[in-house]
Formats: sequence, structure tokens, C-alpha cells
Amino acid sequence: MSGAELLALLPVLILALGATAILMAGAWWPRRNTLIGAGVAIALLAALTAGGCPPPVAEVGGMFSSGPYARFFTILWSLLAAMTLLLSPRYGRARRFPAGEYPALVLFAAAGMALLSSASSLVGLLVGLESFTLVLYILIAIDKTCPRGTEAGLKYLVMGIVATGLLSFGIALIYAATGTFHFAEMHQALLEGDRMRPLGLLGWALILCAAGFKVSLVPFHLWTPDVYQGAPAPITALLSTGSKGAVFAALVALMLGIGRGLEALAPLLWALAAASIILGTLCALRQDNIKRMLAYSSVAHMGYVTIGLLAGGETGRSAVIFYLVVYTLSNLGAFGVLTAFAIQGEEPQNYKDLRGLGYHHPRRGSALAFFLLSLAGIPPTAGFIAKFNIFHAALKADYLGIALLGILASLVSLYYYLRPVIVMFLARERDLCLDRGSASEHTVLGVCLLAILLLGIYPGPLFDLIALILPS
Amino acid sequence: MTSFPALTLLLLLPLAGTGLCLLFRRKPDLCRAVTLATTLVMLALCVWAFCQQPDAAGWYLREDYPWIERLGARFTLAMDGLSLLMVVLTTFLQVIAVLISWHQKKYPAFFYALLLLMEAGILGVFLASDLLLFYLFWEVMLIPMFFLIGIWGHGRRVYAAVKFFLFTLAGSLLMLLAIIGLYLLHGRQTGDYSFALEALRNTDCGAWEPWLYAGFMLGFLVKVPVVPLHTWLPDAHTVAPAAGSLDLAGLLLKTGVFGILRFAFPLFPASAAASLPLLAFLALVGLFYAAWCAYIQGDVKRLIAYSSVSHLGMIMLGLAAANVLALEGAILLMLCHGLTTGALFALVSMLRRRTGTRELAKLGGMWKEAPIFSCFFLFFALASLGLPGLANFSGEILVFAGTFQVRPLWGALAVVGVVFAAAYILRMVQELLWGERPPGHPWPDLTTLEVVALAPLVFFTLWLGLYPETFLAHLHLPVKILLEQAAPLVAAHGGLP
Repeated sequence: MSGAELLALLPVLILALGATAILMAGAWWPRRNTLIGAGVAIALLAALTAGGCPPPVAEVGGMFSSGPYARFFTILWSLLAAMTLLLSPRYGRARRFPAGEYPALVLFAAAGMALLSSASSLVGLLVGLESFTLVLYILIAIDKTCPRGTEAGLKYLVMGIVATGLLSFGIALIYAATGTFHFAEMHQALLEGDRMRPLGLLGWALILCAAGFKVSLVPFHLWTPDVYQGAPAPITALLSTGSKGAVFAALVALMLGIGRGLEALAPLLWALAAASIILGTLCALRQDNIKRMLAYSSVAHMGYVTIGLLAGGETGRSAVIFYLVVYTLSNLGAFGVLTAFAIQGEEPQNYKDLRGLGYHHPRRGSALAFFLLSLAGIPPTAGFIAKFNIFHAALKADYLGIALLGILASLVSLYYYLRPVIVMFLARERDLCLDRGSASEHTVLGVCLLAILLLGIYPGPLFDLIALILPS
Repeated sequence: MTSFPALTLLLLLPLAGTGLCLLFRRKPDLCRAVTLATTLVMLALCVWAFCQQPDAAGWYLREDYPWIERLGARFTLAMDGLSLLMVVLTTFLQVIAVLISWHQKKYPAFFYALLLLMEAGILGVFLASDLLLFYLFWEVMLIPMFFLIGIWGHGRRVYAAVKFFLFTLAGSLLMLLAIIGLYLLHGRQTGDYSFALEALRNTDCGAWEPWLYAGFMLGFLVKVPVVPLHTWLPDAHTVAPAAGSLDLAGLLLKTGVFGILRFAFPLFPASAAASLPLLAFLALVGLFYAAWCAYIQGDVKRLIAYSSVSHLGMIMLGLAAANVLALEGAILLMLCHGLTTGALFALVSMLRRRTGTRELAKLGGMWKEAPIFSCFFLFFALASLGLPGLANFSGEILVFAGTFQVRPLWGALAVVGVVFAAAYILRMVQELLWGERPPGHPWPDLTTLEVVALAPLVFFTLWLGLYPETFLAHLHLPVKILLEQAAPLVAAHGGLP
């Protein structure tokens, strides 16, 4: 590997080396807040480097691209790591998170997500995916006092291993069919005339199933509610946004040159999207626990994103990326509020725990309501523009049926997004002793809120940026 | 036309007010003052706009800025005579809404913030000339209303709030689909992807036209509301706080009718023409059914809510007649209905604050007990009934005249509807003002503040009844343009203008 290639990987290196440094420092000076602060600084530094330091080469080792698309996601996931860490000091203190390991692991996760989003070959895909799921297994179970967390970690581990198996097998099949790992060459080799070769189709199907596990598309979603509920709230924020977003970012890059091959995959994508939207929405209706509700709602959201993939083309891809950004902000915000509400040993989880919170904590209560409205896709939040884009892309690609299904599901979804809002604001008040939250948590919530509002009212700049970075 | 960005200011001012209210949420007095000041400044701005001269195409003011360029959506605001009247009504009623909720004790800052936010949403609906922008505002006005009903309502407030939200949102999501469909059709035909109303009007929708029209209409008809889509309205009205009812009756319902006039008719004239008999049928059914429902109500507020549905039936009949007289009458009736029904709702809320009930059976003898209240109540009740010289009459007579020109049978039926209105109004007035006064504490009469809040409504009710031309003058051009643009509408009734 040449020096230029190393330089192109610099942002990821900063994350990984910084994480290692924190890990080592933590062994000698276990000062949680200082180390978390250092983690935030490193993540911000990585984001700055990714934004301000143009890569000398376009691809690293034939595995990872370092183009603007990869850089965009590197920045996004670095910022996500920074925000996750900013959410954590108070929460981590109350639950005695290990001082060095925690920020180090979050940074490692961000590095893995960045690698996955920049993958330009199937090997890169596998490496990227594994490097952050391994970290997540630990992070989910990091609260050793909470039996539910340990169980969730184990569940994610078992499912993750199945997914890894499927992914490796799929990659092997495609390699057997084409003799290459590289995305661009792969697509050409997989097509036989206008049709996909059977081996390639099987390989694709396996890869999509593995991705389905990671982003919890139906029928691979079964782990989602338990893991969401069991994981500590800041980690759920990271898991529900970054890990899913990175997989989709990789899929967008993977499907870039697919051409006519998309027609062969369309029925599969269609079925995954439809099943996820229907089942996710219906299951979310029945939840009484906000984290489980958000878990099922994320299943439905991933279904919407899959519609964008299905629609394909420049419109579809840009809709997917816009959706990912908005979904990341909204979900991070929602789990951020839950983190900020958490007190010693308890997170407010059931709807009855949220009673009257809108009155006693008007700012955070309103923020949660706002994030939920964004997830529901109500103007003027960015969620509306994001959903609008997806439906727009679907209609443009002549998928009327699934667009109608999506709109119908959005309507039904209002019911479960409104329930917590109703409980917080309209239900009879109950004086609940909750934590006042800390300044760093409020900063994160403020940033998410402002970004969602801005993107909802004036999404133009982000659109332009996406058009700029989208590889074509 | 001036380059002064008055329309943008009309949207930004209430938003700024919302922000200030949330910022100073620990100082209710300050919030109240900020809200009143904001609404007054906006009213002044509207009066200024009222004095402007329209250009040849009927625009008083027009602003256009880039917005989401990738999608071809622009921040286009435009004000013609129709928008102007609606905007004036909005800003005017909003001042009253602030005055009648002056002593709001429950979370005052949040209350005023929502009131202002809703004003921004409603004004946006009346001003937007870009379909995506319009949809944005259309949804924005839902959220404050949801909270106003849900937090400050009485009784089954959560049920009513959710019902309101789901009904109206279901309608508007179908409209969203139709908007996207129209946008894509237009884009494929011309290569120019745009949400501009002007551009989309020339789209050839082919076989899709009835479906797109239906999507738009469902969104609007739920809001109007037309029977059988009306069931959310009595529930919402019954529980809503005073200002909420005033806004709901005076403004939100108007956005539906406005949407039909501004978007559904001009965009799909052929389908619209084909649907006129159906619209007339629904309008007449609503007129009678709601009047009958109003007659049998025991709750005064519910009675007025149903009377509101009935009046909207009359307005819809004006739209279905689709000629100059009927359309002008319908729009005028929107103004009148906003004033009189809004005033009645305000009065009922004041009544409830005094007596603790709205049941007709538990009320009575108000004429002796609270003469000022009774005078106001009688005045607005008679106006609502359509007494000549008061507001509603001028609008109704135009609707009748227009309808008789094209479909005498419809007109004849509608006139019978007025008899029904007389029945329920007179019953209400009789039982409330003159009936037996139940024993108990005396009920205090209206306070000075309440009189101050109601007096302008009286003034404008008289003005609209005696000399509606001031307002009609602004309507001649927009209605003429609408009918020219939507020629099939005129042809539907045998070519009568």
C-alpha cells in the first residue's frame, strides 16, 4: 500500500488510531468524561479531514473508494459517532460504562461504517460490515448490570453470524461466476445478454438477504425489537441509524452499474420493501414500548428506503441518500431524548412512563414530538421531503402500487407516532421525577432539531450536495 | 405591484411570534402582548394590501424565490382578489381569537405560539401558488390545531383531536399522490418538472384526469367538510377551546373551499364539470342533513357545529352552480360564515365559562340574566339564519340567484334549506335566551374585553350585509378569470356565464 493510498484512508485511520489511543489511555487513566471528550474530538477531526483533505487517489487497494461519495458518508458517520458520544457522558456515568472502551468502541464502529460505505469491492463490503458489527455486539451488551442488554447482544450476535455466512456465500458465488470482486467489473460479467446469470442471481439474493438481516428487512427483522429494547439508548441510536445507513450506502454503491440486472432483482426488492412496510407498520401499531415501536417503525422505514433502491436511477439513489440522512437525524434525536430522560438505572420505555412529560420537560418533550413527526413524514419536517422523494422516485419509475402502499402505510404509521405524542402532551399529567439532562445532550438534540427543520423547509443545498457526490 | 415582500412577511411574522412566545414561555403577559402585536401588524399589512390595485391578470402581489430547485419547486406566493379576501378574514379573525382567549391560563405561551403557527399555515395555504409549497402549508396548519384541541379541549379531547388529524391527513395524503402524479405527467410531456400552478394547468392528463381530480377533491372535501366526510367536525368543534373553534369554523373549513376554487377546478376543468351534479347532490344532502342534525342537538356548540356544516353545504352549492353570481356568492358567504359562526362559537365559549354547561336543557332566561350577551347572541344568530341586512343574507341571495339561473330545482331546494336553518336557530335562541332560567348562581354579563372582541364582528357583519360591494369588487376579476380558464365548467350548465 502506497503512501498516497494511506493518505486517502486518513479519516478512517484517524478514527481507528484515535480509538486505539483512547483504549490504551483508558487502561491507565480511566476518566470517563475526559476520554469521551477526546473521542468527540477525534471524530470531529476525522470529519474535518474527510471534508478538507482531498484524497490523492480515487481508490485504495481496489477495495475502498475515496471519492466524494465515500467522503460524504465518512463525514456523516464520524459526526454520528461524535453525537452518540455527546449523548453518553451522563448516561455512561450512571451505568458505569467502562471508561476507555466505550468511546473507543464507538469510534471503531464509525470507522467500520465509513469503510463499509466506501466499499468498492465485495471484499471491502465484507470487511467493512464485519468491522463494525463486531463492535456492536460488544456495545449492545456493554451495560453488564442489565440482563436484557446481554441477551440483546447475544441475539444480535447469532443473527449477525447467520448474516455473515450468507454474505460470504453470496460473495463466493459471485466470485465463482465472474472472477472478480470489484463492483464495476462484476456487473458486466454477471449479465448474459440482457439477463442475469443464475449463479449471479443467487449470489445477489444471498447478499440482499444478508443486508436484510443488518437493516432488518422483513423476514430478517426478528431480532430488531429485542435488540433495540435491550441496548442502551445511545447505542440504539447508533445501531438504528449508522449501521443501517452504512449498509444502504454500500448497497447504493454496489447497485450503481447494475444496468439491466436491476430488472432481475426487482421482484425481490419489491417483495422485501412491501413486506417490511406492511409488517413493520402493523407490528408497530401494537407496541406499548417506545423503543420497540421505534424498532418496528425502523423496519418500515427500511422498507421505504428499499423502494428507493428499487426505483433506481439517479432519482432513486438521491432519494435513498436523502432519506438516510434525514432518518439518521430523526432517529438519533428520538433516542437522544430517551437518553436525556433516563435516570439512574431506568429509561422511560413504556408509553405510560412518558405521561405528561411534555409539560414537565417542555423542551425535550417537544423535541421528541418533533422527531416523531419527522419520522411520520409530516411537513414542515425533513421527514416529509424524504418520503416525498421516495414516492416521487417510485412513481417516476412506474411503481405505482408500492407508492400507494407506502402512502397508506404512512397514514397508518401516524397512529403509532402520535400515541407517544398524545401521551406526552394530552394525557393527564403526572409529575415524574426525571433527570434534567446535560448540556451536551441538549446540544445534540438542538443540532438534530435544527437540521431537520432546515432540511424540511429548505432542502435545496442537501439535494445539490447529493447530486454532486453521487457517483454515476 | 410593489417589490415590498409583504407576502413573505405575512408568513414570517407569525413564525417570529411563535418563536418569541416559546422563548418567553415563563412570561405569559409578554407572550400575550407579542401575539396581539403580531396579529395587529399583520392585519395592518392586509389592510394595506386591500388598498392596492391589481394588475391585469388579477394579481395584487406576487413573490417568487427559488426553493427546491432540483424538484422544480419554487417559493411562489401570489395574492389575487380571492386570496386577498381570505387573508384579510384570517388576519382579522386571528386578532379576535387572541382577544377571546386573553385569559388563557393553561400553558399560555404554548397556546399563543400554536395560534400564531396556525395562522402562518393558513395564510400559506391561501397564498401559495406552487403545489408543493401549498401542500407543505396545508399540513402545517394541522399540527397546531391537533394540539389546540388535544391540550386545551374539554371532554373527549384526545379522541376528537386524533379523529380530526387522521381524517384530514387521510384526505391530504391522497392529494399528495395526485400532486406527484400531475407533476410527473407534466414533466414527461414537457420535460419541465415543475410544481407551479400556472404551468401544471396546461397538462393533458388523459385517462388519469378523473383520478387526479378525485385525489385533490377528497383532500379538500374532507376539510370543507362535505357529508359524509364531516363526522370529525362536530367532535372537533364540541371539545375545541374558543379560539380553536373560531379558527376551525372561520378559517380551516375555508381552506377546503379555497383549494377547490384555486386548484381542483382550474387544474381539471373537464372532470370538474362532470362532477358538478355530484357536488350539488352532496351539497344539498349536507345542507338538509346537517340542518336536521343541528335541530336535534342538545348541546349549543354541537348545534352550531352542525349549522356550520349546513352553511358549507350552501357554499358548495354555489361552487356546483359554477357561474359568476353563484361563485361570488359562495366566496362572500365564506366571509360571512367566518364572521357569524365564528362569533357564535366565541359566544358559546363565553357562555360555558359562566355557566359551566352548554346543554340547552340546563340553560335559559339569558335575556334577563345577561342582556349584553343576549343582544350579541341574538344578532349573530339572526345573521346566521340569513336575515336580510346582515352578512349571510347577501352571500346566500347571490348563491340562490346564480343557482336559479342554471338549475332552478337546486335553487328551489336550497331555499327550503333556509327554512330548516330558521327552525334550528330559532329553537336555539328561544330556549337559550327566553326559556326558563334554572335556579342557581347569577351569571355575570360580558366583560368589556369580550365586548371589545365582539364589536368588530358586529361591525363587519353589518357592512357585509348592507354593502357587500366593497368585498365583491375584489372578486369580479378572479371569478371571471377562473371561469374563462375552466371553460368546461360554464359549458356544463349549458353555457350560461
